[in-house]
Amino acid sequence: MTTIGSNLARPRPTRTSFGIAWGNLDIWLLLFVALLNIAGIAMIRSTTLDHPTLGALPGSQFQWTIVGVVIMVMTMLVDYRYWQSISGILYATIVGFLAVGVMIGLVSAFGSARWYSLFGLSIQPSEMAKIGSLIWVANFFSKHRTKLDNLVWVALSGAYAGLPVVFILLQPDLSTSIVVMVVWFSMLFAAGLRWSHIGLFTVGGILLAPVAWFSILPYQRERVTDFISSMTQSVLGIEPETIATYGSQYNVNQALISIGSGGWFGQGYSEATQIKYRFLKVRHTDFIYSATAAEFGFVGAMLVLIVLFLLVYRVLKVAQVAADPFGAYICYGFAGITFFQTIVNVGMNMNIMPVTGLPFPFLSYGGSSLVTFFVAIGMVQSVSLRQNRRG
Amino acid sequence: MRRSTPYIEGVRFFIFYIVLIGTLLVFGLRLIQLQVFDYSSYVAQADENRTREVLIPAPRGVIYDRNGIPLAQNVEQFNVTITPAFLPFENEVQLQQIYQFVSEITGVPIQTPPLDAGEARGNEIGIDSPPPGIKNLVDLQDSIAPFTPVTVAPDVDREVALIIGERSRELLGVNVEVFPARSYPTGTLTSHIIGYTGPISREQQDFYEARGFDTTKDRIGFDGIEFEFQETLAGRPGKRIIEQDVAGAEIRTIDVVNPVPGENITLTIDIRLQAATKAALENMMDQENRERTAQGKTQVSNGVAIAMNPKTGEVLSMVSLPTYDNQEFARFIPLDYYLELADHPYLPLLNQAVSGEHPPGSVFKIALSAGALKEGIVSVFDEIFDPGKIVIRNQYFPNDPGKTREVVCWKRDGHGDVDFYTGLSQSCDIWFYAVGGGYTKGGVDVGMEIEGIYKYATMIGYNELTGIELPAERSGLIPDRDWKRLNLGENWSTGDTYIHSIGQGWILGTPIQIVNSFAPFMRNGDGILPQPTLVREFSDEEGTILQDFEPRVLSVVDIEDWILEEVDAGLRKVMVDGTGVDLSLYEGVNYAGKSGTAEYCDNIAQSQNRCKFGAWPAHAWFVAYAPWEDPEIAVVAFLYSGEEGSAVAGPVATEVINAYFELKAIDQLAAENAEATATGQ
Repeated sequence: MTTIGSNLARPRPTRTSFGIAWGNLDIWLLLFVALLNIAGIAMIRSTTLDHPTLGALPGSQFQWTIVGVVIMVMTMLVDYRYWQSISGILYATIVGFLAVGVMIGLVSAFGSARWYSLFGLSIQPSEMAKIGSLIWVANFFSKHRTKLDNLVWVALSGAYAGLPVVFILLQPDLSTSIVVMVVWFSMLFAAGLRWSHIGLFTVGGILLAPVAWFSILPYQRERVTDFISSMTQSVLGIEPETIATYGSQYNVNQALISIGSGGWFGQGYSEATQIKYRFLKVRHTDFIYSATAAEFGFVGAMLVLIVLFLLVYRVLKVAQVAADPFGAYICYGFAGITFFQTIVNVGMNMNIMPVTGLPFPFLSYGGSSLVTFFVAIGMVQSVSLRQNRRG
Repeated sequence: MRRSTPYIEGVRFFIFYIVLIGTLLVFGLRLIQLQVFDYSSYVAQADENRTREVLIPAPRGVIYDRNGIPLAQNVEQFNVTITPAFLPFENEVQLQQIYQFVSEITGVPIQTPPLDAGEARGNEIGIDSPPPGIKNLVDLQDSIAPFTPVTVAPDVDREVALIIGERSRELLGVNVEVFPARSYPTGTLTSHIIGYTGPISREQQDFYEARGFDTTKDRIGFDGIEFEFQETLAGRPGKRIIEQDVAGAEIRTIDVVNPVPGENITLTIDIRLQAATKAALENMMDQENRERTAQGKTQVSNGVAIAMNPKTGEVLSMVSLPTYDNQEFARFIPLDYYLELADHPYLPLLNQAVSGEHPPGSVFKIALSAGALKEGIVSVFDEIFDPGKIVIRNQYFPNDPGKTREVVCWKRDGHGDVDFYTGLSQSCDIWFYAVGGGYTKGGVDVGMEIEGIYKYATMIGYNELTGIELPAERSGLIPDRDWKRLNLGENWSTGDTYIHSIGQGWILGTPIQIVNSFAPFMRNGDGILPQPTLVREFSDEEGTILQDFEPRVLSVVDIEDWILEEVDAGLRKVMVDGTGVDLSLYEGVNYAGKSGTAEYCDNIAQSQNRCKFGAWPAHAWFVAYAPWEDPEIAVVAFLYSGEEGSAVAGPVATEVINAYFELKAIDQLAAENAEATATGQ
């Protein structure tokens, strides 16, 4: 079976170095990453132009890109199966870091304990947990995938993946927690969660929804209804009764105005009034997609989405040719979180999903998130380089 | 060599691909909705975000007297403002120094403590609470619109403004905003004519916003000419449409709509004559009130004097006392002063010249004089014997036996045989009873009746607004049979007719109506009832006259010239040997006029229990005009509860006329001197 792009860019591997068949390197994947990354730096520049404090961010994002690329190359040189062998130690270490962090957080009375400072470097254990979970959850399923017919093992996998999530939630860092659980569910699905179980979960979810509804706090309930009404109004084109002048609903309104004022081809790079006069808030991170849509219009906005989905597609292709289940699951899980972050972020930009802090992969400003994604890409390349097929 | 069985089922990839394509489709459709279908709506919203209108105020028109002396003008008001975005927040010492300096020079505290509820009384919390301090205002503004200046000290002295201006380099963010304010240099002298301005009320907000006004700052006319010519004086504010960023910082100007300045108005008032009129009236009231205080009598609470050119209707002076000081209202309306005026029993805020309705008494008699001749009830040679009192029959319907009743002349001994001229000059009540209600013994079988009185009174302007350019003008009242039935539920009786024949009963007139009612009778007046006016011309900023003065006519009376001349002759006789004979006049000028002493019993007199039969209180009226041969000036004087027309109101009226001729002589001399100097060179 030949699929689009799978063999086109892959020359017959003739040379090897480091014992690696470089012909198996996924050039397409690197190209899509490069496109998104360059677009991201360009958009960060446009959204922070002439800003007294944010003006340095494009340079900073560029530096993080170099760091990310170096780590990515290092990661793909390392045989991904090496990570499988230290999966347990990695799990114990990171969970330990997270637990200690939460303790310190509780003692120090600072709300958030997300950062460790080590030798002058800030380390975010929850960011490491994202990569870590790709490894240990993939490891778990590659070992126990035959037992998934049994619901107990499904639950066990959930508990194993969920333990770090408890500490991440306590930090509190809801978005990372969700990402880790998405990794778990993607891999669970890939590893062959039975269709009957999926049906069971769906039915159970529907039955539990009312229970969940009444168990959350009134203000949370209000947030849900607010989002639903705002989304329905904007999708159906109903004029809202009140217009928010601050807060997340204001940001979403400004995002919609930014996207809408882009039209077919956009107002031009660094020309969109919504962006250059800063009506759109957090435009270099959460709402960078709106900024792109404002400056490059429908064409630009679709192009970014298509490139990202092609990236996901390439990652899935690697999953198909992986030499072992561990590699396949890593790729499938990474495809899952990339896709999930994208729809949550873009959905928020378009006001069809609630406001969360998930960045757009490779596009949004943010060093640690960028490096994390580069590490993951490195792992996917590592899987691709070590696929069974020889060039 | 490809693996035939990957570690993940093919269908699980397939589902992922389907979801990917589905998501792309949903997002694509949503993008089309936002960027294609709703494009124009979002572009409009984006434009609304980035553009802002900055109003450019239009200068309000200046009001001048007829000789170009300003009666209402614009002065600069200095407001100290702070733009939070430009304050040196990063340098705490410098920031404190700025606060300290501004506070010391303006007297506004840096920070006021939060309101201590312990000091608040009842619901009067706002009265005790201190105004916000500089830092309070700046902090609030910084959180709302940091690039928009906030006024921290309104209306500071010019010196303070200059000092701040000099030190603007050190005082980062501090500015002096110059805002036009109104000033009334002639103050109390012209308050009732000029009026004053005040803030735009909530109800008017939409109206003025639509016209481009800043409803928080701009002021509109509240009274007088300021009110009546609000549109003309205010002009139209302009606006600058600017592009702004989210913090409100101006980026560039997109468009400018220039303001249309208000037109200047030149009034017909001569401020010198206005001053003389006020002095004459004030002196008389003071003199009367001093005597009355000594005698324990009721005070003369109100007085009006109006001087008018009877040919053109130009009002040369208009005084209503007591008055108020509109300069006090020039910048804001002080509540205590306003309440003091509003609660005053003499109603100083009311311009009695046009809003005061009072029984005219004998000054009304010209309507009957003219009517009697026109209707052929008497001829000028007919004489009616006045025994001092006559008996009339009060009938409510024809053939009503009725009751008999005595009516008296003001001169209880009677005037003897009275002809047309003497009737007017002596103001003989019996003569007017006879022509009004009929007096068989005097040779008048049928009088004018109320219909006749109504006809000739309304012909000379009673019961109608004069349309002078002042708010709250009243029309007075001339009753008829229907009016009485509707308002009192009673038939008109013959007794009513007699009472109304001498300008009393329910008849009411305003001073402006009364002075105007004499104009048709004057020589060269051609029977014209002029339109009284205060406005001579409108001009623009550069002084170009936009609309010149053109006398207007209310109506032309339907009375033959010879009758007008006879009435005029009777009015001349008043000053020759009639009720006005004792008045001191300007030498070499012949005067004519009519006195009036109108008994009244209004709510004020009633509450003081002064309405005693035979000894009712009375208003003093006098109308005079001169020169009799070709009148240039007519004056009415009215003193509320003045008791005696010729002795109390008469001197006021003639003094104003005397002043008029004195001023005329001065002007002539000045003109001659100027001419002499010009030719001498």
